[in-house]
Amino acid sequence: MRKLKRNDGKRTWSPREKQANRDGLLFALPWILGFLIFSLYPIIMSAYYSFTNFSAIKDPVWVGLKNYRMLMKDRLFWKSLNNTLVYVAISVPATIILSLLLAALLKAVKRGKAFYRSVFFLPSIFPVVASTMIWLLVLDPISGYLNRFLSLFGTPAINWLGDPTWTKPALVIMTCWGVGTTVVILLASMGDVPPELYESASMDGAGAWTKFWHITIPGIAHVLVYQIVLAIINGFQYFTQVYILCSAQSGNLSAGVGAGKKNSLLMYPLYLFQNAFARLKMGTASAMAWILFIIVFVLTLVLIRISDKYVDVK
Amino acid sequence: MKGKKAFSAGLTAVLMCSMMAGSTNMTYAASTEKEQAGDRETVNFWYLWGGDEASYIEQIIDAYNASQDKYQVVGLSTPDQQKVITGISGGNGPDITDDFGTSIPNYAEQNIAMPLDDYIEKDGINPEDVFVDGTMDEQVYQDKTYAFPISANVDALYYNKDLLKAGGYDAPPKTMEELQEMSSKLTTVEDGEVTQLGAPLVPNSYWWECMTFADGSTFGTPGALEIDNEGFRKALSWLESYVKEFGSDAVNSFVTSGQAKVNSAQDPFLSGKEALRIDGPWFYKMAEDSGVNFGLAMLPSYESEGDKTYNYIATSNFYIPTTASNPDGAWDFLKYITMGDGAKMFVTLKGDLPALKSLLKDQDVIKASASYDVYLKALSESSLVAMPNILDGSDLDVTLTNAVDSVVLGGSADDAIQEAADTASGLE
Repeated sequence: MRKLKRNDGKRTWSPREKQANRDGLLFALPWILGFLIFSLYPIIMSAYYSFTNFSAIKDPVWVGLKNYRMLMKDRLFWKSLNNTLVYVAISVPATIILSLLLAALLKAVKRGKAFYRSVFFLPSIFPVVASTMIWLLVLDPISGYLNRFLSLFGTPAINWLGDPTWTKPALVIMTCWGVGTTVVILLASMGDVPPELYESASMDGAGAWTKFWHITIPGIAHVLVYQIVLAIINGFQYFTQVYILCSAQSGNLSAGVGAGKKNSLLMYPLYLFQNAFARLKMGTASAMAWILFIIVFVLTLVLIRISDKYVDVK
Repeated sequence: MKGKKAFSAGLTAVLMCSMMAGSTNMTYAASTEKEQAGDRETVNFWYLWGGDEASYIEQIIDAYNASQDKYQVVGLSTPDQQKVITGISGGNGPDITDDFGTSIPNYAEQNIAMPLDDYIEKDGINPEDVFVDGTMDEQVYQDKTYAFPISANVDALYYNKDLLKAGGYDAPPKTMEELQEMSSKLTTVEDGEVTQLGAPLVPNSYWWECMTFADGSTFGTPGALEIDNEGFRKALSWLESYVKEFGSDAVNSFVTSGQAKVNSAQDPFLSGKEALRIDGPWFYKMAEDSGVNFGLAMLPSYESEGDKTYNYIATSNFYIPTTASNPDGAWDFLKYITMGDGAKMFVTLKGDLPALKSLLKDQDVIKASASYDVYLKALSESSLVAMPNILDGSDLDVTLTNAVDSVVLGGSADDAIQEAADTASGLE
């Protein structure tokens, strides 16, 4: 948008600027309409549906807080929330630490940096469905490659997807495989840290760890916080992989409810999906969506508040 | 400048037109007016089958269209249940579609499926006389009929002849007690890993339902569920002792691994690592193609039942959505495919078991698959038991599967049944 002309405190637009604004709006109109119709309207309606009994075919019937009250008593709701919280609690630190380490290693690499960067980034562009089907083979308790590899060190076979104790670590391993995007972003931000800081630290006798901890981390902290927020949001929205894993294991998930042994793979978004499309309880599913939104919103807010205290955005 | 203006206006117009075109198309599809195909009324038929099976359905559609001149059925393969439901709920769905018997309570409650009682009464049909005993149970919800069955799925016992012979058996088990005993004798464990599974635990469905029903037990009726029944207790108690004998980790690993490979080339039965298998008629061709030396037998019952046999029945069906724009045409086609010539074509082309009584002794049907002498016998001679037709049917299934999983994971049958009974008490 061109700059505004000010005249006696009033904003005035030249005919050319008015025309430019109209053109701009016209060009943006398809997106604006798309946003209003396909994003904002469903968001508002889902808030309304969360207070109704709604199957998508019958007219919604206002039931007040009934959906929320029922969810509080629903065993599978708490199970799915617990599963998701455990997954987020393990996967967020695991992926961030791994990404940091890989980025630091890549930064230190002198030759073939582009090659290694491509190698680590490659899993991120893999279709999720294909990679999940491959992981199903990798994590097989009898013929899986991971157990075969671990057996070289004398580790007993682990039933990654069939033992409720190991399902979450298995999902975290799958997630860690796809950290390429975070690695590339952190690597780029590490390049922005002024090199003279490292030089002066070296002159003061600082070691590699001291430089990493006192220069690199503060230097990329603003990017790191953003990546942590993204990782938390993605963690709470973890759906496709468990949907595919459970579909492959059960043959047909869409008609069912629950997932994995003792529902240990029942992630919150998967249970939301099952409520909407297997049980046709759109009102309950909408209520779950809003509870999830509030949880993620509060967590993000807390994280940003904390980071504001310690992170220098500049 | 003028050129730019013309360009932006043109682009906007194109975008607006394309959006309008989209909405016009939707409006057209949503039309509740009966569409005309020449002089005929169109009946939109969406079906969940794809691939070769879709071509069989298209043959039935062609035969129907040729058999009369009032309606023109237009088929669409839509192998996604959710897409069908979304279409129906948006008013752009089919006039007739197929599904599973277990979905009916939900579809009835949510006003997705239309009650057929007026049509049934008008045409003087008595479904209980027409369809195989037990198959109508899943089509009725709260005294209203919402669907007609197209196929009745029952199970049979597949056994690997070579593995049985190596274990000292020359015939399949005659009783459920014998099956349980053979399960142990035919299981081998090496280095804490099951290398051969004697028990029919893969797939992780069918076996526990059949074992529960094998002494005449059931899981009750809507409003009076019986989770803690004698048959389920016997099934889980046997499983508990089997798991104790071979180790929870070993059994669970084999079942998890096998479950992920069900019906593939690595399927434990198809790769010669599972001695006994309880499965439906669709598995017969896969077993034949695998090259495994196998036999097929009726499911055994417990000794106490004498010659009486039981089987677990589940149906596929056709229903008319409440948003159908041509329900009369849909009803006409529904009758053709479930009760008329279409029913026989469906069974002989696709290889499913018939739900129509008159087809049980039809020679063309009997000759359709080598497995039919066992399956059709099961269908006509066994007491057929369905799962309770309740609104929360999928939750009940998960509850019972969780009970089985608990025992596979090393828990006790008592605790598993208690937990399942507690959970099921909250189901509608």
